[in-house]
Amino acid sequence: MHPKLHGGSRQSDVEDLHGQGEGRRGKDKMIRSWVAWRHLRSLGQNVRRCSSSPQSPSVDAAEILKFNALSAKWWNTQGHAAFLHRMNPARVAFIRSVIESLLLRKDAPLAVLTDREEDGSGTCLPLHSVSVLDVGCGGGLVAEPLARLGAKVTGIDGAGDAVRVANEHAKMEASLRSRLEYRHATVEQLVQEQRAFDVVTALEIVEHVNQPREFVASCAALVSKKGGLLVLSTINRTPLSYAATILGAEKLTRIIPSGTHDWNRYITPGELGAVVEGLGFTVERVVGLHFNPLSGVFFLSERNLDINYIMVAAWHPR
Amino acid sequence: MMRRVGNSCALWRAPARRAYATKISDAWYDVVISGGGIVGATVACLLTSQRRLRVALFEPNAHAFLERAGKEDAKHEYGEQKDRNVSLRTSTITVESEAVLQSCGVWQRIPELRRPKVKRMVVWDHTGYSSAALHAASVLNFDASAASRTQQPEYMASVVENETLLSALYSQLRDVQNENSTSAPSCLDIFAEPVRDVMYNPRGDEWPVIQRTPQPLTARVLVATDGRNSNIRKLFSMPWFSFSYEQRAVVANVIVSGDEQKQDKPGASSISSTAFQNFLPTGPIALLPIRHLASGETVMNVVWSTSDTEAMLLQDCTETEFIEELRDALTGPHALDFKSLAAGSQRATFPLVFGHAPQYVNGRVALLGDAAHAVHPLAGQGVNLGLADAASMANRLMCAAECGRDLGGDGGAVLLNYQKDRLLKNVAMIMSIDAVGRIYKTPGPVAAAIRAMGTGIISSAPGIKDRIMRYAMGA
Ligand SMILES: Cc1cc2nc3c(=O)[nH]c(=O)nc-3n(C[C@H](O)[C@H](O)[C@H](O)COP(=O)(O)OP(=O)(O)OC[C@H]3O[C@@H](n4cnc5c(N)ncnc54)[C@H](O)[C@@H]3O)c2cc1C
Repeated sequence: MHPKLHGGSRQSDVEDLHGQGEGRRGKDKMIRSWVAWRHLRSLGQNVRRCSSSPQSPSVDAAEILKFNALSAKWWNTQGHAAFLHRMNPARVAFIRSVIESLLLRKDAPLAVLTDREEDGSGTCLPLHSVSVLDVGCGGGLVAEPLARLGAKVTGIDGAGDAVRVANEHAKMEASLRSRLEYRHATVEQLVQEQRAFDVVTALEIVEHVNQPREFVASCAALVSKKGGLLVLSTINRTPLSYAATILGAEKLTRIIPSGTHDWNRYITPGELGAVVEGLGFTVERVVGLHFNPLSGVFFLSERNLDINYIMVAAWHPR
Repeated sequence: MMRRVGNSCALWRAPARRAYATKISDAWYDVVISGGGIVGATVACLLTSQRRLRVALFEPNAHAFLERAGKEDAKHEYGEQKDRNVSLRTSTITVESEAVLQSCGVWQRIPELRRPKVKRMVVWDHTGYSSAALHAASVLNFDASAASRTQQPEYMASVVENETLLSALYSQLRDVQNENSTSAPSCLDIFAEPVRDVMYNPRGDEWPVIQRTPQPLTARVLVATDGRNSNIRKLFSMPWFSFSYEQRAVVANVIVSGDEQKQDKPGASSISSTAFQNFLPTGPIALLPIRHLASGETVMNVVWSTSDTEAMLLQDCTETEFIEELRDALTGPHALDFKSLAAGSQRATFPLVFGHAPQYVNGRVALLGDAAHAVHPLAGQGVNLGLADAASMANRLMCAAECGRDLGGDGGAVLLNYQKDRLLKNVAMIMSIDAVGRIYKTPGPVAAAIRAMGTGIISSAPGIKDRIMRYAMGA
């Protein structure tokens, strides 16, 4: 009934992603939506084609406008974020498990899963008292579940409408109010404000920002305490990822405009690992996140990091 | 023979939208369960077994159920199990269902005497009955011990009175509640009232708001286990396809003694662990062992499906006449000696209806158990289908909660997973039960084998299908 959380091998969660048992056409739609979403990501979050933004190395005004137009659809599970909705439980389960095992050092989580306190403090929840920054929070797809599990979450995004969407959605749950905050801000702004968090997550962004090293360094600077975690997810630079994201999506099917992805900018786990280790972090876990187009199921794998992967690094200052 | 009733087959009608609530409150639950019958109470036990979710259960008879649970507990403590009269409604609980009940601490609460095991099942039909010299080929004998080479338990199912099962469920729920009041804040609230009306939370995302005075309750997920005439199903205009078999089931408890020596090889299970089913032209008649008496006799529960008129006659005739009819109906390969009706036992009749909801989920609302599917009792699968629903739903909800998901959110993805788990399986079972019902007039061993396959007891026992195949092929 209650599989213990460890690593990413929780079959039951992964099955949960199965969603509505969609047929083949559904899966095609899912793949399209994923690719479309990646395209949006590249518009909203990054700077790749407009790197001259003076105030921040990672935001561009015109591009953000386009993204805004679609932000309202963040929470539509059939819309452009459909793929994301499916992959979400696997990601959240993984992030929860690494926070529990690496930061809280709990072996057997035995907390309640819903907020019992009328004041919404959630003292019994599994991630109680953990502060999390989600960089590029979008509509709050990751921030909201983490807050539901008890973490105190700050979500930031460069697209104002996404932040508005996220705020609007969180209002539905009274118990989340005290634990969830969204801001229209960049990671550099937070560094200037000298904010500090136990965990900083930046999911599916690194490959889109103009200066990934600086971006990761900013994220890392916000990790406050010893053993604090940096969770990064991105795309590997392999022939397989080239086939999937460039050849498949851009050239063959033309689902997204040619040139949206730049394969040369993809980052291998080795390169990313070197960057975070240079910042005083130790790489603790790297897992691949895979989509099986035949079954429509997402699964995590420690061995196969060929396309999407998530890296968890802990801060161990000397 | 079958007739559609009313206009209840409005398939795929677009669900009507409920009005938005004007009065809302911050009182909310992860799961509100409407209907605390066997299925609803099981969902409540499963969801509260880890004390991690907030659950509310609405059941108009909750006071009576809790009170009876208390009395039963006292009785078990004083070892008076044999005293109580046997109630009419019984269920066969398959090994899978047993595992579900075990996992939430309920099965262990039922004393073994109260859940006799079925180790053997004897199925025959009227072709065997019609010839004076019994045609052995039209009798099927299933012995679970023969199939026990695999590691499965050496029985096919257990027989439990519905009352006993409900008492065990409610004593579990009572313990969860008592524990609440002493330590952590409540993870289970039981409301002894029906769910009368449900609206939507105007804050959006269609959270159902259960209307009640003084304070309405908001639910992430509303689980409807309020039986075949589900009020929730009607409130949310979820389609329901149904027809009447124009048959009734006559239910009674009889005392039976059987001559063991006459039948089978030595070592065969006695009649006290045997279920019998005979397919008569008018409908199937089933006999389930429910209580062993000190005298060596067995109380058996009779479920006799037959035409409306014959059911009336069987209901109204005298006890002696009823026993006589029963003897006639169950003449077969087994020397069953019907003594009398069990002490304090009446007879009752139930109309047999078929019903199925083509869609179990609407937004944050899900149908389970008889609210989703009402089946012919001939295979004794009503409760088992419902318990499988309960297990799937509880599993999906608990896993989703572990990932911090809004249980009813994401377009109902979690609930739709439950529907995906169960819909096809339920339809397959319902269809095979229906098919069995239709072919009981077809003579011959192959038809008998198919009939037997349709009964879930048989199909759930190990190696049985294999044996039927060999049997049907003349091996
Ligand atoms: C004659 C007969 C024999 C049977 N024999 C077997 C058998 O041998 N084996 C087997 O597995 N199955 C058998 N069944 C089927 C089995 O009884 C049902 O499938 C099973 O009881 C269904 O359980 P349930 O909890 O879904 O519904 P129910 O048992 O109908 O429970 C519904 C509950 O909801 C409550 N309720 C109703 N309205 C509301 C409301 N508005 N708000 C709140 N609560 C409400 C009711 O009080 C009730 O407690 C038989 C059925 C019949 C008719």
